Amino acid sequence: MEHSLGVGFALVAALGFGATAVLARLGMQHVRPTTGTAVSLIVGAVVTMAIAFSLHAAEIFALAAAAFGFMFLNAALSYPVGRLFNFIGVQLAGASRASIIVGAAPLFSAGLAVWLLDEKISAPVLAGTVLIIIGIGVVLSSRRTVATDTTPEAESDEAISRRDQERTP
Amino acid sequence: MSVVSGLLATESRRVSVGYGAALVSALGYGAGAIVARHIVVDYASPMTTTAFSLLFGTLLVGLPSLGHVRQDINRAPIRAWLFVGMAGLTSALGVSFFILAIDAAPVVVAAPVTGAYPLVSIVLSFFFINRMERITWRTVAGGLLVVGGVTLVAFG
Repeated sequence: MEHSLGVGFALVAALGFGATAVLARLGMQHVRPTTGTAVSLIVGAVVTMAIAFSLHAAEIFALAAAAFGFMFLNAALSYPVGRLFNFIGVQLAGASRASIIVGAAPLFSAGLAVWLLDEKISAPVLAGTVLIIIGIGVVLSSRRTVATDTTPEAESDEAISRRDQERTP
Repeated sequence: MSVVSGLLATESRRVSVGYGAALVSALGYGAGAIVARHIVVDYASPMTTTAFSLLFGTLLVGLPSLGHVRQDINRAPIRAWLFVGMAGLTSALGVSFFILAIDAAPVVVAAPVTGAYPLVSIVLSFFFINRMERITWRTVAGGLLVVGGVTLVAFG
């Protein structure tokens, strides 16, 4: 029972992460990726801070200074690099394709852990690495699959509809 | 600026730059995950780590982006702000439920299920934004291969 509850939570998490790219794609028809990233981070920070303070207030007030240093490092890697470039990828390459490539992040974690932390690479990790590289190769081999101009200055929904109608014989 | 315009001059180039950006993003998230693991093992709970990382991330991205935000406020419709705000909400939902999932089930079960989120993006793209991007067999095949690979890495 507890096990299936965990799977249910994991499915909701997948739904949340999966929806993020699609919502970002819709929003970034009109705003820049920097703006989209900043707004999404503000909303995320408010929500998670509220949850964290309600569940772990005592822990937060007792945190060591080093913890904040590592959290800052994590933030520097995950948001100005991770999320901002994710949103740029979503805007330029599309939500589905960018999500597939960004979804390969565990491969980079494993590679960095082997390189920097001297962790051993196991057979499943090796096999998974090969699958991920082939999968990314399949996605990258497609160059002309984004249907519209996606720059922030570009098109409104009305303009897209108008152009689609013009194309219809 | 003209360099960026040149890079994005054709659809093919724009998509290629998008792929490059997505790869840089994966590298950033991958490296961040290693730091995050160190924090949750030695210093703080996953929720606290996520909350403060998001707070610092907001400052790191938000402050340099103030000029862009001001310009976009004047020209973007309300629904654009709703969409990017909801993107932040769904991302926070994802992180929170992933933490709940690894608390209620083994990581080797929860991580691959959550790692299947690119397939969710493909399905949602097909149903909600198919006017903006096409879903091809290559997208679906690539997604399945990557999710399969992530599952194996999680087990490893």
